[in-house]
Amino acid sequence: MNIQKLISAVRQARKRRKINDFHETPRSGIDVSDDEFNVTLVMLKTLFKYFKAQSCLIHISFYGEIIITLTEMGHSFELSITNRPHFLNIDEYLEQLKTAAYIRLPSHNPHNSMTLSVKTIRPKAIWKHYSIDINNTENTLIEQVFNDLKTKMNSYSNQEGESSYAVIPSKNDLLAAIHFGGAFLGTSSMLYHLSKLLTNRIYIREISIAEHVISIDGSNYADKSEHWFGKREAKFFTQYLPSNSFKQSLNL
Amino acid sequence: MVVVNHTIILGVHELYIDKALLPPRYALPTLCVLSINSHLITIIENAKALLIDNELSDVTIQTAIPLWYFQLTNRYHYDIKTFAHIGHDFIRFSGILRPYKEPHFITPKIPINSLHHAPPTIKQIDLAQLSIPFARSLVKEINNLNDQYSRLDELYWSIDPVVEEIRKLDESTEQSLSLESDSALESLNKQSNELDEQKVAINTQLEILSMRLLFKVFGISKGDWVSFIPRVDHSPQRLQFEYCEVFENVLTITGSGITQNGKLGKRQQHISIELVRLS
Repeated sequence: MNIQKLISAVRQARKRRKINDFHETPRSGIDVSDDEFNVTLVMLKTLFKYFKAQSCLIHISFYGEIIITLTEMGHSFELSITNRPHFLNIDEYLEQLKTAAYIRLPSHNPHNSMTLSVKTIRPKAIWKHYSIDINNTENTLIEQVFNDLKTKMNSYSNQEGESSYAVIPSKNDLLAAIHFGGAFLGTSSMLYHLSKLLTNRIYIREISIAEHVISIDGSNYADKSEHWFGKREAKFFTQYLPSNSFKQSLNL
Repeated sequence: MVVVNHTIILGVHELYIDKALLPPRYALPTLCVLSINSHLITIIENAKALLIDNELSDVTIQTAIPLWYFQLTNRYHYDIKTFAHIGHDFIRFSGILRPYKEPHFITPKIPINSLHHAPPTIKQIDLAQLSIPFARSLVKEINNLNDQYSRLDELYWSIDPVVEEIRKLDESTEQSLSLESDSALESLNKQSNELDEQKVAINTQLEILSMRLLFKVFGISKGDWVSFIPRVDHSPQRLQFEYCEVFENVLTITGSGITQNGKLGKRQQHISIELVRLS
């Protein structure tokens, strides 16, 4: 795929990323405000050019995740650009807020924290963050990111864990679609009531969305249930779920 | 480009406007990050003037100033509609996640005077200001209302002993007394209640007027640190303006005192300003 097509795939996927707000394990990707989005895409283009030159394969998922595979090493990583606070210890703030209504920080500018983050697709891999200036991409930074990744990947001995990437749609994607649909379509939709019902459920083993029906399988045999939906919900699902997912029931 | 002075972090609480409208818990922001800059200060000042002019208790403005941090994604989310609620002495923010229509989470209140890094500047009350025409007309209005209040009050207390007895009688007797006198007594009871309501209404009006007087003439509003040198003993009084009331043409400002080393004390202090009747 050429770079322009990749960029437009990211742009296309942006509207589907809305379900991320209702997602228990939100998918990575580009999350910036509207006025920063176009500048970010310009920067992304520079990044893609660099990775292509290093003979990497770039894939954009249905929900706009950016997955880059280093062909020579056979390992992949996820890439995300968003505005993150470079707070040292969110946990400490949360602890303090249990007794105080607010905390005052010494001079600090939270806006200036656009971050490029990468994570190799391995179980237990963690995100590594780099501060960036989206208006002015330096090749040295990209090189540093790339070299850090390579060093890390060199220590990987086998292919184990490449499957840790959650295939679309995952159980959480489907759940997020139900919750988002409930909020989006309102009280007149069955999704609203199903969403409320599912919030109270502790464990859901399996969930599948077929052409007209959502099947939910809980922890035991008695928890099995089926929920039929109409045209409005079907239209909603075509927008936010990949089409193959609810044409044929998927086993997760 | 606005200059950011510093930042405040707030907790976020769920707002139960409608029990049925509960998003999953993880769909709520963890923290609200607020940059205090000149732009925000201007918004607050404008809102405060609006409050005083229109007798409002708080105003709500849509804004994009605070950032909402989500622990789940370790980032700021942008698709949130935010409202700033500004009262006489506080500001707080509420938000809506896109598909919802009503705000469903809110931050605690922050006192406006603690937005600044340094302790608030102490504003001096200068009685000479009371002689400008605008102040004089306000004072006159307050005086008139105050007179009205005293008259009502007098009437209220003069019929009070009678009303008190009627109520006692009402409780102790089961059958009605002779019909005509009963209705006369009943109406007296009613009138006493009405007087009470009127007194409360005038009192509220008096409070609004005195707030307006303090804001427009001395430039002080709730939450401000105020100092005053009385004419009599010349020892300065300093306090944080919490509330004010007018009684017998004396405007009293009440609040916690400010100690010698510029901190908020525990003891309640009063500043009394005599609103001289103008002939």
